[in-house]
Amino acid sequence: MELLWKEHNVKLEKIMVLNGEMLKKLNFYPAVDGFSKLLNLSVAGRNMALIYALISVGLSVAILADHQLLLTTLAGAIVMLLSFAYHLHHTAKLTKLNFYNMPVIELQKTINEFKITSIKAGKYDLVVMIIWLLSMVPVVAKLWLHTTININVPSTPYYISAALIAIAALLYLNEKMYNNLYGKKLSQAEARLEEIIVFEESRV
Amino acid sequence: MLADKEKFVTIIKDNKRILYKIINCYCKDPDDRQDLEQEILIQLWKSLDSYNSTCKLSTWLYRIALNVAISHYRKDVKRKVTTFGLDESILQIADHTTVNDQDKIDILYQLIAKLSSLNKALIILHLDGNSYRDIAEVMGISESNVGTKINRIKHILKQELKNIQ
Repeated sequence: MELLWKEHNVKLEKIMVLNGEMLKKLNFYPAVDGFSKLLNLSVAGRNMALIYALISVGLSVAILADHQLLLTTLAGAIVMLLSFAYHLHHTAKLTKLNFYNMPVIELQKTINEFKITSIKAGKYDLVVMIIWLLSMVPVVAKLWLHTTININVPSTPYYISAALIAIAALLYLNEKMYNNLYGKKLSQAEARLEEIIVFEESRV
Repeated sequence: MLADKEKFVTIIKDNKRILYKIINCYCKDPDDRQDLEQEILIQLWKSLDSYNSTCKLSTWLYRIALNVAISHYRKDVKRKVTTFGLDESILQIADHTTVNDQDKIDILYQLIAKLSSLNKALIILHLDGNSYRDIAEVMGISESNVGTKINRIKHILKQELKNIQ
């Protein structure tokens, strides 16, 4: 095998041609590779969470006098800030990655761990988005539609039951949608990570 | 910038065979091969500034090319649109018939293609004549583990070759 490979190598040297002119003409800077796409998508999601939080904070200023409405809007901002902080922590690790100074196993492991965390986070991102949109309804209604939506603290069993059913339905739908959209991708990434770990640790 | 491009072309020219073999082992489909070639070239270009002369050029090049090839190989969706929109390969074979006539090397490529992506990387590095130490550095596993794994892969490949013969 080694001999065959060496002969092949010698032959390649004779018959291979590098299109150097084409290589020189290429403008590499606007090109985006697969790795960057994955990272950019995550960073964009993270930044959007910050923008949503800032929108909530900005609108809060306009309704400072209405304490009930203020609380709802600020709750939406806090949920988005928590999402931003989570994604910031998550992407910070990946921005330090590169293809040249990390060994193959380490880089592949990190990329797959990142994929798994991203896919898992996707499950909560949708819930966060729905909560934020709901928190925006009363303030948007007041500022743009000049309608007041009364928000009563759900103290009665009727309200609590209705809220619990709504939350359960939301989580159920989210779970179902998530499994359809990302279930396969998640199991593929998990299997891949397992394969890398086995390769790294086993001696055969 | 111009000097960088000259340096880049020289590096690619000197190592074109390594790139060709890696691309050929990881991709069967010609469109996919061209796509992988371009993705490796982008990463090499982007990493050119980071290349440190204290590290071996081959280690730097193998790490990038193999990391891109393994990630590319795992892509869920096959991309049909090339990154640059080019319809020509940069690494070209002047005479295809010469390569295709080599039945034995074709069989070896086919057998390597059957291996897992990480085992593929190991055997390419070994067949290219890299020491266990260099392979360990590129892959990130111990030298003794490299030795054990390579012997195992060679054993599998020999068995496969025997079955074919």
